[in-house]
Amino acid sequence: MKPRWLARIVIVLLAFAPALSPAAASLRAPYTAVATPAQALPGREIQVDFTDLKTDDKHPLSECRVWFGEADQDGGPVDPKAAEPCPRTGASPYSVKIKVPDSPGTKLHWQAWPSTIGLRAALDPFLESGLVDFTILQVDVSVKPRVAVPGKPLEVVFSALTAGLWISRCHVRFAEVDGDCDDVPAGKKSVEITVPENVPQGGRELLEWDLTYLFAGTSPSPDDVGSGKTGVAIGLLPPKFDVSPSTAQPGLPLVVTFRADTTGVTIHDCGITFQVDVGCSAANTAVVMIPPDTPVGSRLRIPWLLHYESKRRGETVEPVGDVLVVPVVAERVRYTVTAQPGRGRPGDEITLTIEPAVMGITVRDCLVFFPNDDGGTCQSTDERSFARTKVPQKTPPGATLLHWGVDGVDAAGAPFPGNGDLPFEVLPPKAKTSAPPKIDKTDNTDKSGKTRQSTLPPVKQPAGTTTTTAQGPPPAFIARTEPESAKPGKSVHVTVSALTPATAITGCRAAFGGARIVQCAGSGGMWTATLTVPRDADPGDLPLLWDVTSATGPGNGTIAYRVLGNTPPAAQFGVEVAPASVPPGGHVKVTPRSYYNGPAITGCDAGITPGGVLAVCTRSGQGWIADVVMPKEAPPGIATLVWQVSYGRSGSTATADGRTNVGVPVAETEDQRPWWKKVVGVIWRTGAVALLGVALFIGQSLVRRFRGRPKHTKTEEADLPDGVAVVPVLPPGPLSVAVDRPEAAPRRSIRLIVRRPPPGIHIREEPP
Amino acid sequence: MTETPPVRALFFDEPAEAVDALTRAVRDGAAADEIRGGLVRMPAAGKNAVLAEVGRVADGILDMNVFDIFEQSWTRFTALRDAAVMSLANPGGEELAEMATHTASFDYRPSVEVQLADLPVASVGLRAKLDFTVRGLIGVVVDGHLVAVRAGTWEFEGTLLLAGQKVAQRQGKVEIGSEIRFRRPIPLL
Repeated sequence: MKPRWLARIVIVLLAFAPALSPAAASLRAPYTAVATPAQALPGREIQVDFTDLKTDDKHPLSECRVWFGEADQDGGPVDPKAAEPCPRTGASPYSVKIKVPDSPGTKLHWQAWPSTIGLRAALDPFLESGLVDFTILQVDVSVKPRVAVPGKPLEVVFSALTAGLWISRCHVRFAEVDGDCDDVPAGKKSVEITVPENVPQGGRELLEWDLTYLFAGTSPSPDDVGSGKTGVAIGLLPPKFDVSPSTAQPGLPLVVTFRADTTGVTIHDCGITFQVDVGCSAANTAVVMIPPDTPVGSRLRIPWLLHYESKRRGETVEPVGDVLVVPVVAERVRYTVTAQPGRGRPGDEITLTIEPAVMGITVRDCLVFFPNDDGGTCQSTDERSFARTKVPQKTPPGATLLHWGVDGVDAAGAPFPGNGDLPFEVLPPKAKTSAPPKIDKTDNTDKSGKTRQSTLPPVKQPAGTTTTTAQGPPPAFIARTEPESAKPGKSVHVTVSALTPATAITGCRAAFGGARIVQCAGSGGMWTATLTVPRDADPGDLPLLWDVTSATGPGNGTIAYRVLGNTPPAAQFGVEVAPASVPPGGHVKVTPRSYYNGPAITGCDAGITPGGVLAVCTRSGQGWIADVVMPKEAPPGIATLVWQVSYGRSGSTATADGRTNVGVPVAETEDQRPWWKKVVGVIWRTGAVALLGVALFIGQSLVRRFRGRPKHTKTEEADLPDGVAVVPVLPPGPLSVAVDRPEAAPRRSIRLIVRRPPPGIHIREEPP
Repeated sequence: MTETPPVRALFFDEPAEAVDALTRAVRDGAAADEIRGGLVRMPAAGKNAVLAEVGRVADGILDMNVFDIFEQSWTRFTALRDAAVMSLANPGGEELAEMATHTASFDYRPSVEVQLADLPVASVGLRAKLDFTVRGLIGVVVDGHLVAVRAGTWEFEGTLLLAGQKVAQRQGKVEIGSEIRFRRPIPLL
């Protein structure tokens, strides 16, 4: 019985064999698969719907799946991981969703089969498969340039690669900058954005994009969108360097400072060429002297070169050079500025006293600093306005400039700013001895290490307080301290006053950093707070904070108050110069002053350098006065008055020196000069250059000769006092030698003739 | 070959003598008053250091070689210039010109300046007066240049003054034994 049953099944299968082959199944085509939409960009999810065209037969569709693959319609393996099976709903219609891959060459395959029990689907004689009619749309998104440059434009180009595809809208986002293209459908569109300056250089940033599109022959759909991301490399900008200054003055040093303005870039070495090559100091400054005869209005072209080091990834480091174009100007004196001392060694403290050269001006704030250094800010007392700074360590000996700037206010409250440079001589550092008492810059931490506040906590305004907006300059205030320095535990009066006429102060406060805040008491328009220097304050500068309220607005400031130690402070002197500017050949009355209850002056002398004559002070009813003559050759602009005062202290005599600026007005412009004066000027300048060359040559010769000469005097080990130089002055021109009878005939003349016969060559034969 | 002496050696036997004599002259003479007057507020030790330095700088000026003086005069001698012309027609050969006895006078007036803060406060004049009588000197001329001198004697009479004060006065004779060859030949044409 059993063999007969099996034989019947085999016969039945053989009878239907042609119809059950795959070819026969496709002919029958009971199943179909349709994608919606029929085209899409990679990344979009589409739906494939299966339909059983013959639902009344014995093979209803029960399972299906789709996948994207490279294979042909009927062949190739199916990757189970890539295939998306239809959900087992058990009833038609059958649908499956699948994401369009970013593989333009792939096809969308489908398989479907009826439910068969006991047979594997792949062997099901009713399994059908095919390709879904679907197109992967292709859009190329590229950037120009390929490496984005901070601060520069970046163009993002959208190109439709599929025929019939039109891009209608597009949008990009890069480094938090958005950009959109126009709405006109096109096969190629672009959008331009500007790469932010602050984007990290040397790395990569993600470019995000999205678009909408139209496809030929189809109706627009809200789902016709696409998006993507791509990484874009960020390039390195050339490093930026600041090479200053912008002006030069005849007869003064020109200090060229180099500074790297790009993060991760440091200057390794640098230098300039001005008549000779001049290298930079450790502070990246190069100093040259501008000849006094350099015409005002001319422009100096100073080539510079620097080498730098970079921590920026992937940067190729190469030397950088350019030409610094510096106009030669003659500055006008608006403020008389005095540096004490007039020369110093690295680490020495310099006090700059600033006085307006114009009546009715009040110094509101000021700043003084050496090139490439932080410097110090202003402090005002009833006597003077001054600022302290130090000669930076590692500053090479020689000339440099002390930069200063002043924020002044006139009687009407209008700004009266001023700035300039004072020549300064840096002396070689002394041999190391015991460490001097340490005086720090304004320390912003208290003894416990906590950061002191930089401003006082805000004042709670009482109800009804209003601030009026007045016409005219904004309110300006000044805080003066008395005394200008004090020991711990001593009282300090801080007096705040308004510099603008229409400003009425309503209150003020002051405090040493970290100490108790003291309210001001007002009287006659002056508001004063009396503070006590903290008893635990170290010698040095301590922040003194103050703020003020007024009907027209508030104000505040910080003073670097000098806390004294046991060492008495250095005597402070300055000079009054009248007039502040004087033409060549004119006279200047120089009156020295002693500040801060300093010692009495017992004598002084002063003179203009270079080229001036030292004038000794004489005593008069107004004190010590020196009559200084401005040299006739003084170039226009700023001349330097060097002075020295002697004073008595503790029964002995001591001296102090300093430098003060004096103006030299421009006599007449080049264009105003007659032609013959111009010719004389050219001849004089040419001669001056020649003389300078002779002087340099003689100087070098003498230096060579003096070097190594024997020293035998008893005082040979004594150093010359600071400021004193002993120099040889040789007569100009060739040595003067008179000879008699230069035309006398010689007693005998002998001629020695060199004869050079041709060389004879003799070769001796070897004996056989 | 013989080395030519510095001007200092015409007045002093040892270099140290020169410094001592000049420093002494600075300290004891009128120059000291001028310098001290210019440094009126300077401590005494500082002034003494300056005076000593003036003596040293003055001595440095005397380091000048005697040939620095004669270099200026030899180019003027017709005999040597004629020999220079002849030498150009005899490349590599030497023209020897035995010069007639002649005199050369040298009056040199440099000064030493003391500066305070780059400004002059005192100036000390130095004067070296030398008269040479040169006998039997033979100039060696090659290719238009004076390359050496041979034989001969230089009799000299010299006076050295500092701030108008006589520091040294001497007469002497320099014998040129063999030949003095110049490191830098002196162009005669």
